[in-house]
Amino acid sequence: MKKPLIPRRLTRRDFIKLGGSGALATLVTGTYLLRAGGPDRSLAAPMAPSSALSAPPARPKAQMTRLLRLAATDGFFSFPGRRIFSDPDNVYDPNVAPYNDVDPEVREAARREAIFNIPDDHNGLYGFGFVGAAVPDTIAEVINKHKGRVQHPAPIIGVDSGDELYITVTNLGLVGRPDLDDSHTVHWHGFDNPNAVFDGVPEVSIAVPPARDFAYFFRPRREGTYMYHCHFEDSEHVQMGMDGIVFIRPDPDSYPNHAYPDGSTAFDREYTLLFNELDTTPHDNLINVQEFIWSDYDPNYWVINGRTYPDTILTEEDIIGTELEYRQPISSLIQANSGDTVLLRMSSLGYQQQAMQLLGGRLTVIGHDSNFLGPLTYNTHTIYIGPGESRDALFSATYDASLPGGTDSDGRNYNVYWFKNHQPQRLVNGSHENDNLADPNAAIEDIYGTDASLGGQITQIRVYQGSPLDPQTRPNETFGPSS
Amino acid sequence: MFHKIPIKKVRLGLLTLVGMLALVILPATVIGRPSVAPAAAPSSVSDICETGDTTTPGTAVFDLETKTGHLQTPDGNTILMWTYNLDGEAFQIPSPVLCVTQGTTITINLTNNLSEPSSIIFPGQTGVTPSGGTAGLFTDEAAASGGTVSYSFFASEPGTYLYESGTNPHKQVEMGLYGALIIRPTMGANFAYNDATTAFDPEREFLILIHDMDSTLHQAVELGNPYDITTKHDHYWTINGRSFPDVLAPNNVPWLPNQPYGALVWIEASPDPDNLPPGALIRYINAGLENHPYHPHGNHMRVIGRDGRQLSLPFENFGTTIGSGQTYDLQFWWVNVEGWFYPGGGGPLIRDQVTYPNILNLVFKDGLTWFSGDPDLGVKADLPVDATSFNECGEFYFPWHSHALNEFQNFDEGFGGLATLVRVDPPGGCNP
Repeated sequence: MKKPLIPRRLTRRDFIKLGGSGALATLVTGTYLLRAGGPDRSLAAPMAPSSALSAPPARPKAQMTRLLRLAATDGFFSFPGRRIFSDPDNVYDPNVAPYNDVDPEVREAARREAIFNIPDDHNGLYGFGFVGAAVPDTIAEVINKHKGRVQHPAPIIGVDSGDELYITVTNLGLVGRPDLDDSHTVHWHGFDNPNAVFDGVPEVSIAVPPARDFAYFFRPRREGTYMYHCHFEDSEHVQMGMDGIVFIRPDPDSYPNHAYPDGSTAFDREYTLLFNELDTTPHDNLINVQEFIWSDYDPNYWVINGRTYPDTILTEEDIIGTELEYRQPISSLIQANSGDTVLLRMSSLGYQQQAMQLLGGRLTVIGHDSNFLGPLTYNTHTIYIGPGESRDALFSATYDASLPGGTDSDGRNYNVYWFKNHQPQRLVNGSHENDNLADPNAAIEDIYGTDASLGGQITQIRVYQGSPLDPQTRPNETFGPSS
Repeated sequence: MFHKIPIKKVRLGLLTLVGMLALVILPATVIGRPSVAPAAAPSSVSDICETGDTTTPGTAVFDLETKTGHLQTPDGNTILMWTYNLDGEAFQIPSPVLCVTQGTTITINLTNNLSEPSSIIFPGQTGVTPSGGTAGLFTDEAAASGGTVSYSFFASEPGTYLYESGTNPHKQVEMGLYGALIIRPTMGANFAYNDATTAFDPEREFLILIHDMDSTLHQAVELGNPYDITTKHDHYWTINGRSFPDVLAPNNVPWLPNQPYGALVWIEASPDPDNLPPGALIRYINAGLENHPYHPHGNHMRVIGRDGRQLSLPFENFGTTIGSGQTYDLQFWWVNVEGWFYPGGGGPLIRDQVTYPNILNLVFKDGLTWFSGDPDLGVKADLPVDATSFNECGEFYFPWHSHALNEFQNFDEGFGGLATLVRVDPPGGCNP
């Protein structure tokens, strides 16, 4: 049985010495397309118009125009039992040249080259996805940098209510299937759309063919947690990985670090959790130029933020130099200092309903489908969430040495609260729930045995003793190692 | 395992192009009447209600019989179905929509033509009294081959309800023995409950009656083969008895003779969000054997009732996981949150407000689209010459569909199955 993915030891001190903030900055590109407040709020000038756009009209200063770009491409993902490199924990050594070069651009280029230079006989899982791309680049430049270098989930997008958002979607084509000319769209799931053309459903509007782009416009208004996904042949493209979380914050001047414009929704740390399932059969069919009957969907992996346990509890520091870096960069480990209030923004784009249970603690659910519950706020230990729905919940705890937990290599003591799918048949990696389809790897292991056989949709909330964690600068930001 | 060779494409399953053009051409041409202005909205619940025999005040009597027939799917399949039908009327799927007013004593007389006993149960009703049948597990039954039974109950609570077979439900509900029962409040037929906040536009009352099917199970019944519900694996889903895109055709199209009800949700945009008139009422019923997560595009839904009872506090959402056998009542308006252009409305054009891209480099899937060519409501524009548009006057379309996307299929053809569209006309409609 595959051992948990444990990275080469890299202490925080080493990390900072190597200019670690540069490495993390590259993760920022992958994980999060907009910072909360801060320097990005100075971005006001629209990009130089390309031939596809006419110049936008002048904007009053009170509104902030934000320009983002998503490139749609394909590539391979890594899961227990479906690893890409023969040594998945050590794809490159971050301590040697050129991976430790003083120039962050050289460093990042070398690291991405190593991660995406995969061997022909690998066992990774084929998929599609959105990655963040630079707004001023030409289409050719975006193709050069990103084609075949997919990530899942798609980058987290967080915006303030009242901003104006132009999100350019560029279709890079498919490296693994050059015979397919699939278009892509982005559907802003749950938004009150002012028209159909920016809603992203190809049959009732338009779609973006390979080597073209299209700038979606929307003005975020209703605060809350949503999701975005491709709606072109969505039964296929959503399962293949073209999905992510987008959320809208209340006015940051009136309600900084609040989920809704209400004082009861304040938080100290913020995490997005995207629930999904994987049926490896269509992914394998697609790379092997075979069809799949989508009504035969039968998942055998259950994921949070594109990872299954034990990968779910790896921090951003942990995955440097491993095959999860750039590919599945968003952690689902939830860290908090003792006494912190944590906001969990949860969305589901799987095709099954999931019942996610918190052990040892309770959640205060404050939002359903971007609606602040107000007097309907409730307290629970299980989130029952269906496909296409979202939930916002708050969690808070103080460290207690008598409760279960551990100590990591940085000497930080923490309590562990498991957050897991309550259905144990979904806490496995690579098995089938029912045996209608023959699968040589289908033996359901004894998940109540050792840690090594546990998998699926399970992660941890870790409440640390004292306040060893810095404030977050973006959602899902984690600090230090997990072990 | 599969009884059908899958069609080797994952493209849009739009085999009903003729039907779509019929939608655009509109009833005057199809029916052959003199040209008249098209109806403001098709398929409102009141157009399809059966009110029964109300000769005796305070009562409604329905005479139903079980019948067999076939359902057509958009990918060319036919599926054997069992349904309840009004005595002497042609076979239809789904069973008739029964509409009564609160305070009525309902009597349903069932004649059973199936080769096994059958019955009706009424989830959500209390005090249902059977008579004249033989004892069954959940209720009294009508014997096979012509047996009869009657059910009587007092409709005390307004709401949206399901009626379905209580005999061998693993087979009979799968086969189609389900239907909608709507009890209207005494306050009036344009309210969902006895509460002024539940008012709706009676021409914009829409039924979303969901069902799921494993065609191999229906085939087993048709061929007399063993029937094992534990093997249920669905490949088809219907709303009001039709799969997408057949749901978009009007009621009673001749090319779907056994499936008389459409499921297009057709409304007009509300120009003033601060001054909303009574909006659309949507009645969800999940008559299927599985739960279904139903997701509307366009705007949030406002949930006002559940399982035949008004909620004390309504709430909004953009997705409802409807449990098997559950019902919901929802209000829906479409409001342009940006206040953009309506014809004659004097608002700003989208092209003046945002950067609108050049669409000539973009794709219309399979050359077919419901898009008008222009981003503004009520405006049509040119499309590339190889694109055919079903758009009438610049209205918007948004899909409403299951977000278990394996159900967004007709077997193996995408953009099918458990879905419909909401059509948002400019204020005043396309022919004001």
